[in-house]
Amino acid sequence: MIFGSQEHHQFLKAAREKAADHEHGKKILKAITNYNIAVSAGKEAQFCNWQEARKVAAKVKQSALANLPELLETFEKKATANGIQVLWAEDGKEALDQILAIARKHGVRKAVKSKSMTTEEIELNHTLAQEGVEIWETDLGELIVQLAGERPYHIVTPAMHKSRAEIGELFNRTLGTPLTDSAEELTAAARAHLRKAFCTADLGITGANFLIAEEGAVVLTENEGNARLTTSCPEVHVAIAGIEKILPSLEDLELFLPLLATSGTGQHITCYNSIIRGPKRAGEIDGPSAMYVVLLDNGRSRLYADPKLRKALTCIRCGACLNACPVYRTVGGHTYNTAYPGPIGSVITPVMRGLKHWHHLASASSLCGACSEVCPVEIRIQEYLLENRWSAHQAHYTTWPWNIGFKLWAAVYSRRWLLQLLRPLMKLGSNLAPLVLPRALGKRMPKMAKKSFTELWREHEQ
Amino acid sequence: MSSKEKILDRLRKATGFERGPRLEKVPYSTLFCHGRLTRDALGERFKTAFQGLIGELHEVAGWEQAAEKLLELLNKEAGPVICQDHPLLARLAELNPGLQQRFRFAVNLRSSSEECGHAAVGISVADALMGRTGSILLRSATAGGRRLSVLSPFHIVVAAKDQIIPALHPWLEQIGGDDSWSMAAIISGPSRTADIEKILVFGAHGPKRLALILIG
Repeated sequence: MIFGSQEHHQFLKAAREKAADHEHGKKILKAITNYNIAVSAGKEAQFCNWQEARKVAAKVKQSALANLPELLETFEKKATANGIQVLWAEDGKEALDQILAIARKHGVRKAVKSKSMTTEEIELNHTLAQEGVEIWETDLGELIVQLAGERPYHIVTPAMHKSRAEIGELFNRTLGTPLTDSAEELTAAARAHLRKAFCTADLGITGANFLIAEEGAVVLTENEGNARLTTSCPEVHVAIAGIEKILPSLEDLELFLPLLATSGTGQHITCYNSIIRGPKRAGEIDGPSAMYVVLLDNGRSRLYADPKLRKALTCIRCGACLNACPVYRTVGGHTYNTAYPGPIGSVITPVMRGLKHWHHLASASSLCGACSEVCPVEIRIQEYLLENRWSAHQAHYTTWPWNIGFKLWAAVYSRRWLLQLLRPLMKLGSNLAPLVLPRALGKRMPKMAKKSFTELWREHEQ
Repeated sequence: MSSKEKILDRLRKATGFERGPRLEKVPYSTLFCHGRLTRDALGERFKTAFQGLIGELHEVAGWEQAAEKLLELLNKEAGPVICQDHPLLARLAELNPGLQQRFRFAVNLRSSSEECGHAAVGISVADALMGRTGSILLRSATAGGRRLSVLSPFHIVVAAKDQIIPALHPWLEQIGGDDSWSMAAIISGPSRTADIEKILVFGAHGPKRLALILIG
């Protein structure tokens, strides 16, 4: 009988179901094992000192964050001079209105989209679909979850939870592809299907992996080439990016492109990295005739304002923390039910979407710190999770059984004599528990030691 | 107050930062294993890395051989080519009548994307070659536009050995000062995906094959 938000209950229910789903567990373990092998090989092969690289990257990102207002203004100035129309959106709704206005202005009937967690965050597809715009995800993983009517499972590999057979069946049902479970054939089917979309779309929508302030440019990192096509074929390009994506100068890409690739997939560098500085220039053969960048706040300034949490904005969205997290591995990405799952998601979501309904994510962690160890920009994620837990407690969002329970625990455990006094009672309770509780829970109850450390020490001293 | 002003206002009100002068620039190349190589070693490193990315490397001694090699590759492909309008490629065509013939029936770069997509091969030059990672560096203004290097299933790049540079830095500096381009690209191997059960498949949306004719 735990009170708490509906989101909290949904999370617990979904977590229980997923944790018991062994098929799911096997798939995720396989994916993460492959990832770990690739990434450790990648780190060693490319960086002569990975720890040093992390330190440098953290410093660069934190310095950029410290100067964020100035860098954003520089970005706007340079981008505008490049022919980009820069728009600022305080929240998801404003961003959606801006993008709708752009779509209407240009008479957009069909759009193609490369992978962007920011568009997930504001639920762009749904809004555009309601407007009557045919919108296609072009990243293979995103296409798969779009066809399946699901959310992305992971911020880097959206269809990590689907087997080849499942995808084959899905493509057969939705695209009319002959039934197959060959990854080659399925990829070829997606390629053929999306070619038509690329060539006939009026609008290409992307996120931005980085925004370069001094150049007024958007940087896109990918392997498939779908972002290249999304920004090369349609007449209009809209890039939507969180305000924290800023890097000062082009030179910083020398570090950050390899860093992101290595942490994200174990590659030295991803297949296609594009620096896009505006619409087609005079003298150029092709490219969009109009380009827009939407700078999205949507709660990021709230994170920025909190000195204890602001470093979470240095995240480069590599997904390493998700893969390292034992909780993520067990419950999977969908359980979090939010655009950003996993450790970093559990830090930023409660702040961006409201502590009242999302603080439970901060408790979806054993605070093991594996996430912080792998983070390429040295974000100390588990410290921020603790911070969120504390804020939730201070705001009285924690449930009264939880509050009372902890008060009791603190009262007893901070008084050694009281603890000693209550030991026999606790021992009795511990022995009775398996008889009273449901079997599964009873089995897991820790057994009290026969003697406390104090008692053992006293005996030893005598 | 506009949204821009509100957002910037909130950011500026945040305290506890050490705002001010930017960090001193760290030479990023010191962080990489192959960040500091001799010229020869860099050349070898490029070749190894490029081929490691499943790029097809064709080393030739000079221009005639390059033209021959290009024709040899094209003769294995049935469909039309799409080719950048560049003096270097024009020179190759002059040296080889077979090549000239192929170029004559090239798809017009300014056609619709669907038209351009019918090409079997896209041919371009490059700004530079990144030694450390085996990457091709190019700009839309000087490499035949944005679509050329990504639409056709086979992309062939013609470049010279002396275009190999040790890091991104010199190229980034060069392009930063140039106004002609709207898109600059770093291409590292043919298109690929591992979204299906982490199985590596080539030719997801971009070219399935990437070849480099390296002169010198």
